[in-house]
Amino acid sequence: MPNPIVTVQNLSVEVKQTGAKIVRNVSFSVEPESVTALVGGSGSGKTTTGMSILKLLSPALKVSSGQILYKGFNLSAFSESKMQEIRGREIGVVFQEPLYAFNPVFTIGDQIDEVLRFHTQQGVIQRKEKILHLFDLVGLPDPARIYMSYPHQLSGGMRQRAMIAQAIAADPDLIIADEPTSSLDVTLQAKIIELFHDLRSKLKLSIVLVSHDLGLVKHLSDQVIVMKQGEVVEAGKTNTVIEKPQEEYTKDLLKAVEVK
Amino acid sequence: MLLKLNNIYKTFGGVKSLLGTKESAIEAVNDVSLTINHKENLGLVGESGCGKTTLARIILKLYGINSGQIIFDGTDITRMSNRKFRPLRKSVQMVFQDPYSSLDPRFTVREILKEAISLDEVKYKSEAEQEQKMISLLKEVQLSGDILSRYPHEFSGGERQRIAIARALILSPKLLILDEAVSSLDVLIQDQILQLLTAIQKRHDITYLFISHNLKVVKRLCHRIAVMYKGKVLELGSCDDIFDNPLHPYTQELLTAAVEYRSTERSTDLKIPDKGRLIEKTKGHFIIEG
Repeated sequence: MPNPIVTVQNLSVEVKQTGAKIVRNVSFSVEPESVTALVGGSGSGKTTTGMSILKLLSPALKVSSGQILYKGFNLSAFSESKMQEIRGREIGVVFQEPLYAFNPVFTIGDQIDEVLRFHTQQGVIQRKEKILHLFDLVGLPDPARIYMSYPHQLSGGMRQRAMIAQAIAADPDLIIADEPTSSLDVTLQAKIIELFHDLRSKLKLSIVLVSHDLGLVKHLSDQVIVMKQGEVVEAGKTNTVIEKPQEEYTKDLLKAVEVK
Repeated sequence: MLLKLNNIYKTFGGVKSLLGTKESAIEAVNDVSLTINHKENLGLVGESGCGKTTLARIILKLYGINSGQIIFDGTDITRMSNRKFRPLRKSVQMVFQDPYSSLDPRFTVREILKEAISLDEVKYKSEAEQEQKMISLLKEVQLSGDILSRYPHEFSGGERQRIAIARALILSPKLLILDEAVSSLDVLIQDQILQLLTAIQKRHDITYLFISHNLKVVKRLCHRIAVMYKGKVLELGSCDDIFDNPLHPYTQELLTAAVEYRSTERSTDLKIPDKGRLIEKTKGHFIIEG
């Protein structure tokens, strides 16, 4: 068994001011080239858990106990500047709403170029070639035009593809995707799921997928962690959890996406 | 029959410039005819940009139309002036997708509801009576009456959507248009809202027009489904017709995406006959043919 990419051990996150626990004693590990899904309703702590891996918690929150190991290194020991080197280069991120995730006053090409400028030593021409290649990889038509486009000039599906291109630009080993399809309509959603599938095998990526839709998770992930009110209520191999859910909460989540 | 749309046609743009060059108009709604029967919920399904929200706004007379006819509850409202339409507009209410922006952040729940109550023909004798009405409405959407002095930001997305529904119910509308009303909520909350809407319909004389991109969600609330693509209705039928025997390739595509989370490789581009008409294949199941 190869070493896991990420190990989360007894992670607890609390609100600094009140001490209220948002995440309680969460443990799981992400194997290389696997997809782990964090599933739960809103407020279940799934996004907070995902963002803890990037050390991108809101300033009002803090990790109160537990640790996160990235390739065996304890993340809490890393300084902010070290984390900046890790974000993007080692761990990429895809947010839910691509319109807000991009800066509206820079072109898409510029914003992806920023990732490459920061993380690599490549020259201008090399970087541009790489970006055009990335656009091609994520299925964006007419890469040269996309490069020069501003975020508002692209449709929702295209923006989401551009953000995925940005997330994989510096060849990270892990992608954290927080509700990557929730703002898209179903036909686009299906296409983005297929894109993740494709990228995963092409680039040997590990993915942490945060979602509330067990139906979607079923099609993409290897293991599922079901969270409710900050705690893990059920975890296991995706097929096992979906076919034989043990907890009422998991059953409710499944029932909500069934075709009645 | 509650609502009848006859050959609705609506374009955006296409204005002739001073020099006589004409930019081509976007056909947002292209020859759409639909009927909604009393207490028979209709689901309007399609991808973003297919014209489903435009159609909703046309029913509310927020947009004018190029040609066609709208008959609401027996009255032709197509060319009705705004002043004349105002009393009727109370019978058509709308719940929007994003409850974060559809509720005024500077208003308390009391003020939000009061604004709608002030339009009611029923004159309330006292503040206490209005208060009573508000509390009973909140109860209807399963919220407690003591939230009246709170502000929208204090609520979760699901609670906010309930407040928006309560506001829409104040004027006892005959038709409630729900435009992607559950799309921004997580699946558990979606389920609760859909159950709530079903419960409300049991108690009230109300019909829903439910707009969504997700066939799976539409099926829970609606009796009939209309599939829209590029401004045209391609297929129309009962839920069972659409789910068990989808005729149009685009309907099949939507169904695969919603149920199996798979996209469909299009062998050829979807050909939408420009002069297409809905042809009845089996009873109540229509498909476009040119």
